[in-house]
Amino acid sequence: MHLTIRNLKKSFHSNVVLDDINLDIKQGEVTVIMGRSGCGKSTLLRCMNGLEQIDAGEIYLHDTLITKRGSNDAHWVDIRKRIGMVSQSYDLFPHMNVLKNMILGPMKVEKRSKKEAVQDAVRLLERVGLSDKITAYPRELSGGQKQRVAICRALCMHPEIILFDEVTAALDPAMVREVLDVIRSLQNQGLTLIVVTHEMEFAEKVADQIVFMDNGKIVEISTPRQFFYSPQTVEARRFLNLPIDDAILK
Amino acid sequence: MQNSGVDAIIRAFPRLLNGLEMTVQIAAISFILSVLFGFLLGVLMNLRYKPLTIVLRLLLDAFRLIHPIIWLFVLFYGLSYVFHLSTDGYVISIIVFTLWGSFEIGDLVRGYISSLPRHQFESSLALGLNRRQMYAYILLPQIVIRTTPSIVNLATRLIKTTSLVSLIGVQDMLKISQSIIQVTYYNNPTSMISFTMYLLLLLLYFMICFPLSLLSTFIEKKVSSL
Amino acid sequence: MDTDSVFDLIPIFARASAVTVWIATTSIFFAFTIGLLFSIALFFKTPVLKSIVHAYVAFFRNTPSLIQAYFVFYGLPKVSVQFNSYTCSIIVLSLIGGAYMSKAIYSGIKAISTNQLEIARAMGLSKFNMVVHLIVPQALSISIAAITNNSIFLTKEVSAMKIILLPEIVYQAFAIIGLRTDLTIPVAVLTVASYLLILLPMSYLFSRLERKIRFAEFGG
Repeated sequence: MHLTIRNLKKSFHSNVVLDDINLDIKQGEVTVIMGRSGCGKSTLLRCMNGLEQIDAGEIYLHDTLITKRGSNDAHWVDIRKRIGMVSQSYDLFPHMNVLKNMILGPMKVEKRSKKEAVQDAVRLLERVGLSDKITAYPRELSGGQKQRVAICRALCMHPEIILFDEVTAALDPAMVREVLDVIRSLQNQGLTLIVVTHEMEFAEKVADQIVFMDNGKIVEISTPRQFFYSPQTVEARRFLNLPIDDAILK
Repeated sequence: MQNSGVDAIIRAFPRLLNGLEMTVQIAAISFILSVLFGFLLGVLMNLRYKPLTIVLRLLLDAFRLIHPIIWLFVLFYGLSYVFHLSTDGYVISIIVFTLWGSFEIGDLVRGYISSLPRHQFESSLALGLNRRQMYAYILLPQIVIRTTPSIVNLATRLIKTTSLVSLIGVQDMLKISQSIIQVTYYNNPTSMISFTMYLLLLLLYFMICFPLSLLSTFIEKKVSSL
Repeated sequence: MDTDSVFDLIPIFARASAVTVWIATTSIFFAFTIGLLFSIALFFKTPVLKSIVHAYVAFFRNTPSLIQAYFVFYGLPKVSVQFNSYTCSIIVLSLIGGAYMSKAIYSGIKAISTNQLEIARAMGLSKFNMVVHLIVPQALSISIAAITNNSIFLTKEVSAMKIILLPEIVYQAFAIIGLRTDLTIPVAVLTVASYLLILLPMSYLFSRLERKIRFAEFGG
């Protein structure tokens, strides 16, 4: 297992956001997490790289416990080098051009040479078709372009796992495709991808497993085929607007 | 603590209060006049009548760039020299601070009016209101609400800046403190009164200005949540 | 009024202007440094330091600079702390400016999107690198207008240091008129002219700087 989550609990004050989460994620697979907004899927993602502290349970990265109590910043910096993240609001640094956005992490966190970092960045931008934007500032890019740069910026750090937190939610429909295509192109490259999204078509085509969450709990883990065509739980059927037959209701 | 000067300050405290009254009086009169003239200036600056705009803009810049200390000095000595009359520091102070405050508020009001979305003007005209009614019922209430935090802040700045009037002989809190210091020194050259007195003045000013600053921040939060 | 003495005034005002510029630039430099360090301290919510910074900012923003200067120049020597009028002016103006700059730069920091800092954390960027590469450059360009305004304010405020015998422009003006009332008009004109000669180029340079910095960041 690449990432293993056991009995994870998280609450904000008295509000339980994640309740007894258990999840296994295999190396090189794409896991898509779905559910209504507020079901806890984004929080779960943020627990995986320590942006949220968990209240109980464990997360293992390759059998190493990463959520020890009282872990310091340095510990999480090491983990975050291995687990990259791309979020909904692009979050490119507005005062830096595309190239500088991409080489900041490799140079400052991984201490790589500038030359090496630039080469890497150029290669990645080529792959996503943004070679001509290398000196552009974020304000000069469209939403879709910004999000592709944000993905490249995460890739520059050579992570083993990338967390995608609703990366297409803030985009115009016309730009959703170009971003999803980039994520798709990362499949089968040895990278483990964990994607929180509402894009069903994408989930169906790309996911190795679908994790469906409702009200802070994982209610269903299945293959896309099973999830979309014969979901096992009432909650999932409601989510997918499928008829709820008596057999399931029991 | 023989030399601290506290006893001298206690003895002269009633005089100090007279000085405080003078400080507050100059600040309050200038403030009220500034608000009145400021709103008028703000509207005038928005009339888009070129010569008027240019003149007002120049005056605004003059009051922005030239420190009130220089205005006090130029008017106090200049007027008395040119017209051979004895200028009253009290009147000159109120004139200078009123002009200063009016242009500050005027610019605030102007800035706010020109940032109002066009449709507000259009829809008020479309309702059949005339220009005067549009200002009275639609624009003015909004301007008052939005500019209040900065205007309260200006009151704080006025109170702080009025300490300058001591330089042209007005018997404000600072001037009276200085005469208390001088008399005390004359009687006791080893007195520490200048330390104690100025510290007391700093505290007194702080006690007046700090609540006003808090009020301004408080109103600002209220207003921005509207 | 003889023309000779009017021309004699010019070198006096030139020297006084030089004093003003020197005290202003030094104080702006220190004020900026204080502002930068203190606003970063506020950002990190450093427990004790945070309260100290808040108290410092509140105190200097809510008391008249005139009395601060009197206190440092005439009051502190009574407890054996003594400065000459140059040092005293720089101390007072730097502390006032520091309070204004702290507030300005801190509001710049607060305006930086938290999402962005979060993603920087997710990238594993250390606090030091976050401050140097993300927070400071952005906070400065957001608050550049306030910073330049404060700098102009400080330059003007040098004239209040007249009262602690700093031989700047207003000090010289008062001194000359004290001796020769017949020179009132030329002195008044030269006083205003000296200030305009300092402040107009300064505000022009600042507005260019502002435009340049804002452009790099946010575009036209």
